[in-house]
Amino acid sequence: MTQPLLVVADLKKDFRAAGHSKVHAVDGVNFTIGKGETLGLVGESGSGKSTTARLLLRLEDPTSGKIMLDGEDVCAARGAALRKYRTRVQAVFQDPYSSLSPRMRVQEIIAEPLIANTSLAKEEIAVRVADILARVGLDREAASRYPHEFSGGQRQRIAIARGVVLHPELLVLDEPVSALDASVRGQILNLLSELQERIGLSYLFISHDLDVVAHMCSTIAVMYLGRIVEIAPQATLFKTPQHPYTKVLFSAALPRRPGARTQRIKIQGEPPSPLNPPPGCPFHTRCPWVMPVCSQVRPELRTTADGAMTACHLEDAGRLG
Amino acid sequence: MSLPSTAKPVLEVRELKTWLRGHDGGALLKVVDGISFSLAAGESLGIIGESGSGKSMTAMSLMRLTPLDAQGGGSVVLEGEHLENKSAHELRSIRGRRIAMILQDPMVALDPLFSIGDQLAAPLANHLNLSGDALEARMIELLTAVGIAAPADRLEQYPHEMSGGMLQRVVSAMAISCDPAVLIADEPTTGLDVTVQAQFLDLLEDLQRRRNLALILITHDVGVAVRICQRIAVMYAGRIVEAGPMEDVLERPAHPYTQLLLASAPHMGGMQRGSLPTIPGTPPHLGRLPAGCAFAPRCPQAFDRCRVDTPPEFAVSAKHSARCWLVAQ
Repeated sequence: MTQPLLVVADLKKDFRAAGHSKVHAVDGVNFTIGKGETLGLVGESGSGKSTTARLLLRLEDPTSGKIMLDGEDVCAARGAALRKYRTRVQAVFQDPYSSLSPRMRVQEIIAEPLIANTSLAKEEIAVRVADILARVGLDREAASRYPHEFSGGQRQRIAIARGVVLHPELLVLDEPVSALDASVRGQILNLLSELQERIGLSYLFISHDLDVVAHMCSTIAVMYLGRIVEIAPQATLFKTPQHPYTKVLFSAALPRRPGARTQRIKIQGEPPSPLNPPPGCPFHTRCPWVMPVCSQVRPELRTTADGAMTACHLEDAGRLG
Repeated sequence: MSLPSTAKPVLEVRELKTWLRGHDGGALLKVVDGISFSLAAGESLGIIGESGSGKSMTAMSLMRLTPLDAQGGGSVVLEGEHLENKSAHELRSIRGRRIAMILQDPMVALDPLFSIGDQLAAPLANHLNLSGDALEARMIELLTAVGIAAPADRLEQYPHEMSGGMLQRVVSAMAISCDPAVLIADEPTTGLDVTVQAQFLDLLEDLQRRRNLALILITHDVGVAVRICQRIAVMYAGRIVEAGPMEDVLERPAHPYTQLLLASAPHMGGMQRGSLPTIPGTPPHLGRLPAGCAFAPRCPQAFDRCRVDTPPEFAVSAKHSARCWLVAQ
């Protein structure tokens, strides 16, 4: 790994639910994002991916844990310190139809972060906007138009332009291509790769699409019910997935080619409610390899091989692989 | 596997057209522009395409559920009967009975104010005149067939009490309730999680085989079609640009659009990062279609003729065809 940019330590977020119950949306998550690297978060709905993103963006306050940017904990940042943090960490969301204000021209949308966070003169802002539009592959004329005049892919380019205009160091991408058509998705993925190479951005890339994550990410964390069950470098994870949930998830992925219909590991049921998570390992209720200990003791992340970490009792019992 | 040439088709679609007037009253939008295919019992056809390609409107046109001001053309023959001249009353006795549909979002397909039992009972009571114990027994049988545990309890529940995956199973139970000959599933797994999607596709494949259904699966995701379809039709700008057996179309795509669509998808076994091949530009506006082939402006292999003449269907092999002048050469 290159030098760490962002370190997340034992991050937790509880939401209050009806009555006195709590949802542990994010339940003790640890990871590091290196400079210029892409960390992927995969998992199904309710796994805590988006809450993790919102915590990193400081749109929610964590219940406990640390988020350290260049060694400095930003969880307590307020006022000027928080604004400074937000110039360094920006976001692109899933739906370019709801993330752009329909009442603002593209020029205003992209200039807004500059106006709010810098003291640049009007002319300089216009230059920066024109510059960034060219970088994301939009015409100069786009600046004077409104979001509704653009297609989904072009809107996502506008959202990316707004995300990078402050030259952030980390871009949080929450399902950035999930709403896009297949022929446009590749264009946006290529744009994100190009930007990363040219400005050395780091990405937190959230997606339910394993193909996209495999393509974009150097390290991938698999989440289930608010916890990371496995985290590993891309090649290791896809070649030798360790955690039973990772294996099940990969085997459920759709084949891309006719010959590629894989042997499915069939499991029963759906993810349990985060309101009432099972004791022990969160996956034990659906795991094909469940052991008695799994319903009693929560497995911790342990290093397995090649920089991979897995939270599974099978690992301790020497039965993984 | 029964092929259309040998088995009598249960559904025959010829030159189906649905043209709509745009919001601004401007140009006529040729949303579905001359679709032809036939389907035998036990066959599954995957219609793949991007948004705006006309795949959902094709489904609606088959069901005769197009907007009132739509202009239509062509023929839809279901089990030997022409649907295009049927009255609204006659169509009501056909929809849900002989041709049924599963929509993308079960939360929209189901009424939040009525229990699962009330909604599942509706087609059975209307089409098959079931009531009382016979109705109850049939509903429990159907819910069991779609893999829902404790079916008797589920009948009392409301949509908001069930997960998305469960609701899509309920909608499937409704769709197969009157033993239709044709089942249309329009993006049935788009809102579902990966593992739930896999479970639901297993169910759909199982239902199709056991009940010998003619299945039309509409999807933007090639993987969904690969998973359960025998045949594939690729739509672009209101037309089927390539069609054939699933293996042929995906292993040896003949149309440049299909080739690029398949090549531009990242996949797990592929190389990391690096540049993906992409299709330049964006899908065309249906009110401003170019002359000739609709894909020509984005096609890296287009030549003069493509920008002038609309390509007809050319045979690539016996059952595989593509609308592309390159195939003619």
